Amino acid sequence: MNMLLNAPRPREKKERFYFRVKNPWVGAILMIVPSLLFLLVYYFYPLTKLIPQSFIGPDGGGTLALFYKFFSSKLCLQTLVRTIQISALVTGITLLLGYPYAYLTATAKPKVAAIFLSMVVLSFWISLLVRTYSWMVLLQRFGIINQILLWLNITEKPLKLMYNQFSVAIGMVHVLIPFMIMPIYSVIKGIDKNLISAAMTLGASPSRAFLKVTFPLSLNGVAAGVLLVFVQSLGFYVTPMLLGGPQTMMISSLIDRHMLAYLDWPFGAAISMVLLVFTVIFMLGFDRFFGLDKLNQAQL
Amino acid sequence: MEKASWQKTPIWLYVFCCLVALYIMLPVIIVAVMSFSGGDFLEFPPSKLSLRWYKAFFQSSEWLQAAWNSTRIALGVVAISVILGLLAALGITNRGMKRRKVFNTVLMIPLIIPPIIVAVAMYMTFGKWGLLGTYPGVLIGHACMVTPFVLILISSSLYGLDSRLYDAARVLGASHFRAIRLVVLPLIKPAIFSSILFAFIVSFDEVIISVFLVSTKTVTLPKMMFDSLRFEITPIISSISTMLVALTISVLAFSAMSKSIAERKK
Repeated sequence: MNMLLNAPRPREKKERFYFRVKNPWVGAILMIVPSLLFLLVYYFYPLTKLIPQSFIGPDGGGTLALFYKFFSSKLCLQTLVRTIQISALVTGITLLLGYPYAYLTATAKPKVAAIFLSMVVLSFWISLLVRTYSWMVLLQRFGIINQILLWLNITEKPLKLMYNQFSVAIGMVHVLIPFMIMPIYSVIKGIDKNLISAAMTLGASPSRAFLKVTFPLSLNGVAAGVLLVFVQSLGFYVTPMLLGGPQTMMISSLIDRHMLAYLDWPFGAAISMVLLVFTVIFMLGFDRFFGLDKLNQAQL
Repeated sequence: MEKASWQKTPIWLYVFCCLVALYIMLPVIIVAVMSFSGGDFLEFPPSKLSLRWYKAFFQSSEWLQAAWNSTRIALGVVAISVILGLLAALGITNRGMKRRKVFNTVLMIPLIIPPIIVAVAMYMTFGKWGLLGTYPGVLIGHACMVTPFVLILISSSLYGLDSRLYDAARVLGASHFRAIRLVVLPLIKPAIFSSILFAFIVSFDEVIISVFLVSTKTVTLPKMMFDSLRFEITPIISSISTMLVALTISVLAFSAMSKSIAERKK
């Protein structure tokens, strides 16, 4: 009894409003405010400043001249179309290579799965500059691939493997494939194995069980992977710059050129706006069909 | 009863996946081996092993300065983004949180918008604010990109926590913040530790924001590598690449280690 009486009573000191908030919601919001404020000032504010930059004409008035310039320039349009083409190509290849890989990793025995998974995770965290550089070393005129081809007598002269669509695609697929594998992997991993067993017990062949049960259930992961890879390809900068040439210029290189080489900031801002609008359109389209919250399954 | 299992994996699938795995890993491994070439050009396999390109890096004051700049910036980024990200994760996962999805999405946007657009935007605005080319400018730019990473890492660890532990602390009289300090934070220590490591490496490897924001004084290692690769494929990059890969591997190893130590304690 004595002990109970001596137990420390809840302190009844004057309440400071932020330490003991009555409304738990306010407490939660207060924790978010610092990062929200930081991003608002240094991230979102600069982004919104792009809008006036790209609509202001030389006389200071509002104008659509820069967008007219973009969509009437053959070079700009070509670059835009090429960017979408390359992005679609890269998304397709990562899906073709990544789906079987993710499937195997999700269904293999733990030890095998750990090896396959760790390679993807490692590759994801290795600097993309380093990974792009390795492809430069491999694909260059007297690089390993050409040496092997020469040695095997497949070609007489070293092939031009760099600075074309092939080299850009091979490098981009290499950099982006983890973004395809991880979401598909985590979705397949979450499928109830009993469903497949049930399908097989009811007479489905293994391939039929896969097509009718596993594959449809994994589509959420595929959708997330496709979005992540496609959207990132649209704005990809380092790899196309280093592995591509003038013939494979993507929209990011165009922005870079106008910003840093020609110092034409308003036009650079306008191209950035075009890229941003395309990115947002694809995101909204995705949201419409699949729901953006599917992306939460893509956590690495 | 037989335990439910996946259907048998056909052998061709294994072969296919091994080929994909080779595609994923081989280029980096080959460059690592080639970085030990002794000749004027990179060879595979190297005809003579030497540390020539590593020496070239450590004897160049420019490269060393860039590496030091990157380190300095990454350390600052860790300090800012881990504090911001940790607070945000505690707020987002708070039971009382309303409109969680909206706030979560807003905080995740930097992971989705192409960094080239952000780099252009920051280039113009930071220029007006006098931040262009300065140490704080690069630091802030990187911190914007890294904070969402920290938020993901820590909040996914928080979601996995047993919320009864927090409730117990509250029932026993701890205030919300005391419960967080004495119960929640110690439990997510491994996640905080790995978010420190990953924040460091993401900032250390960041290229695009740096290309637009740094000056010759604050040039970072990736920016210098990028600039030199635009003109030629120099062998010195191979040694730097190999060291960066080693850094990444040790970060992953440390983070895995801290996790397994924490599991063992349980």
